[in-house]
Amino acid sequence: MISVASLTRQYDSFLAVDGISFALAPGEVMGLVGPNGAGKTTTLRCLAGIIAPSSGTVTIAGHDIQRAPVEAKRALAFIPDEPHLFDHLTVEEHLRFIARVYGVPDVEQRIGPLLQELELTEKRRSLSTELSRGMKQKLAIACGLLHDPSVLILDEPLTGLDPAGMRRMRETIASRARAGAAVVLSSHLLTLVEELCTTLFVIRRGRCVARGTVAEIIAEHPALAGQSLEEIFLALTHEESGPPAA
Amino acid sequence: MTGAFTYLIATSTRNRLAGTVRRLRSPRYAVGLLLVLAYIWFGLLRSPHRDAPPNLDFNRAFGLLLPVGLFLGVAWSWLFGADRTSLAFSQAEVTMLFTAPVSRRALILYKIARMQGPALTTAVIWGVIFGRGQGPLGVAHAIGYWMALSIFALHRLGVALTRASHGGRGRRGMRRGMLATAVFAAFAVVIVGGTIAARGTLVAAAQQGRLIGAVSALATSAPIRWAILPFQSVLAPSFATTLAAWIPAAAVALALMLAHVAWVLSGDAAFEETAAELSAERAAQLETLRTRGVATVTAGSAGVGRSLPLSPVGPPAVALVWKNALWLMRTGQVRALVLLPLALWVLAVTLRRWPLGEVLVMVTCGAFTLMMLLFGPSAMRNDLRNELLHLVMLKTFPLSGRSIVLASVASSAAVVAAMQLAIGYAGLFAYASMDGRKLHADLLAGIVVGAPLMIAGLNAVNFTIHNGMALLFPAWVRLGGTGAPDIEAMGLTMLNTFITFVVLIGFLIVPAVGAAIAYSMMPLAPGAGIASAGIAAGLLLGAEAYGAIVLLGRSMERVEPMEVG
Repeated sequence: MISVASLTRQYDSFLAVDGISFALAPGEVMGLVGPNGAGKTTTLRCLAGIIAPSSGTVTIAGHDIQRAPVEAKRALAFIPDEPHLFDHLTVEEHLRFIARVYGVPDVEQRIGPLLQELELTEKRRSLSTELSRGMKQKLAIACGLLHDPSVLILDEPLTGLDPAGMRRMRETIASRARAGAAVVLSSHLLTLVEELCTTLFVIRRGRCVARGTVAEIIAEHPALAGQSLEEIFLALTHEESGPPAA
Repeated sequence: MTGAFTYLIATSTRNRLAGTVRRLRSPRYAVGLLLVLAYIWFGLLRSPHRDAPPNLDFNRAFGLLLPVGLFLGVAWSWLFGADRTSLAFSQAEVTMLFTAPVSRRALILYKIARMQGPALTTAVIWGVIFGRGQGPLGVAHAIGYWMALSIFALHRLGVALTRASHGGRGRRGMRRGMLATAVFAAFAVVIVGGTIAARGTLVAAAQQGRLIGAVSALATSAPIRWAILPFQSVLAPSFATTLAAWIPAAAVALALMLAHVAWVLSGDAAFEETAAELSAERAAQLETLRTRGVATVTAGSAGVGRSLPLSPVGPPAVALVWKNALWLMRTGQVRALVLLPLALWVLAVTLRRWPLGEVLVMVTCGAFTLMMLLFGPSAMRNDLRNELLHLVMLKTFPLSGRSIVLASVASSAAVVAAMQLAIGYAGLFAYASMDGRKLHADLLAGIVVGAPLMIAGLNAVNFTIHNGMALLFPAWVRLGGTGAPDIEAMGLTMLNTFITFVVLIGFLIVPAVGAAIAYSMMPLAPGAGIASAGIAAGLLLGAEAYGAIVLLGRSMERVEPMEVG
């Protein structure tokens, strides 16, 4: 569903992402974790086609995002940590706009349930400027989910949500994965990662330092056995830890 | 504390300059800068007209009109609080300086110092553009521009401080408002009344081609002279015709500037709350510009209750045009777009029987049509210059770069073309109504038929150039925003307008040749010749615009959020 091969991104002399590779099958949820400045957002932006890789390839639903960006992006949804919305459109108009951009013919049937799922029904005629931070985040999520993407890329999706919203969002991500979407989730909330993700991808200084299920990572680093995910994360991403795993 | 502020201003300026220099490492920006410098050198400084004597009529006309404009600007500030932004500090300044042990006076002094950057830049650019061939007088004029811009900015700051200290509401606020209204109403009565009283003289002078002289005589005679004297004094150094005249004028302007500095520093108004409020508003607007959109639309904005239908199936790029059309509705621009041509049509019909009525309408329509060609793209920005602020979102859409650029250009070009056409037809109607100048039906039909495609093509090219500039040089072009930039920072906008106009002229060469060929092919039917020339020019302009859009589409696919900022 999503396949990344030797992805590298360089800014002048700074190597933000250094040759990372992974593949996700439908239904898999991968947690992309790493300290601040590790290269997570750059990786996600490369996956979403926002920035071009310096080298390497990203394939979404069988389409190379650089060579066939339109086809690849039709199967993709990127939900950034900061919701980017249009001030002059209402909640419902955002969804109609996205429906046309992605070609969703049955938008009328989808809008109601989606707004209900994200608790936005009462706000459907409100401008995005009238929404709270959390509501804006929910609208951005609704826009991302409207066209039923087969690949979902989420950057800190719970930012700004209240506890009920967080729970609902967790359920939404899980249900989308169960329905066959491949999900890449970047978050500093390790409990969320632990709860939702089937695999982990730990990144430090643009390089992969660990990859796989928690059990597989522990098998590779036996010293981490019996430790919490937070302790595993800190051990793997600490500056003085050993050289990154191949 | 002065040391800390000096450090802040100096390091900010240095870092900004360093950023500009770093940007020049990019070949695109380096070539762009070379072209700008070449234009300034060959087009302005080494122009064949550089040694021509200064255009005194131009100076005199502007020297008369601008004081009236300045009067209106100042009146607007006092009466309607248009000074609001002048008291705004950045969010970082509010957070760090307002909580620091800094006196209000020091904060105002800092604010005045910060104003100088844009004022100086604009003065230099205006000096280069308007001061060509004038030698030391050109430099003196540039100093005059700086003084005028500074005084105006200081005055707005003073108004803002006064409003903050008196409170904008309640009985005191109302009393102050009434006083300002009375003062400016008295000024307006003197200026408008004096002009109306001299109407006969002005009409006679206009018929003899001596309008500037007549207006000059009117403005230099009492009582109008006394009403506009303060405003003329501010602008006098910018329009002095000799160095000998400049020196006393500059002395008066300098005294006015120092008086303004003393005025804004003298008050100890508790402005922090107002400033913080305004800063939060401005930050929200900037955030809006940076991340989402342009003008802030609220629930109370025009057209929020109404929407436009959008089918979920069909070319996806149409969604961008739909979104931009909604933006026009909700920022109230549609009203202006409809009302202005309508008003000109009403004028064209009602003034037909007045002496010189058709001339007035024709000149107004011609001026508006020309101004829309020059400034339409600066005012109508619901295109790529707005979309680039949503680049992160835009790049995730399944749309090709070409589709995005095409939809964006179409969003604004179509609107301005329609408006220009409506105004142009009003002017044509006025011309056709003039005594003794009845247009032959054949010619009239030729213009009516040929104009739409030509105007559409012209706007397509013009907006493609402006969009292209934003896409290729996002750091040099103001993105988003519909409002005019602060008066102190108008220089860069003006330079940008000049450069894009020069590029537009380059694009016009081939269509002009095509139009000439098409016209010459029908020597016996001038009307048909005009129609075919308009159509040929329109088609060639459209082809050029499309070619440029295809190329820009490739740039669109390569541009990254970091380049846009």
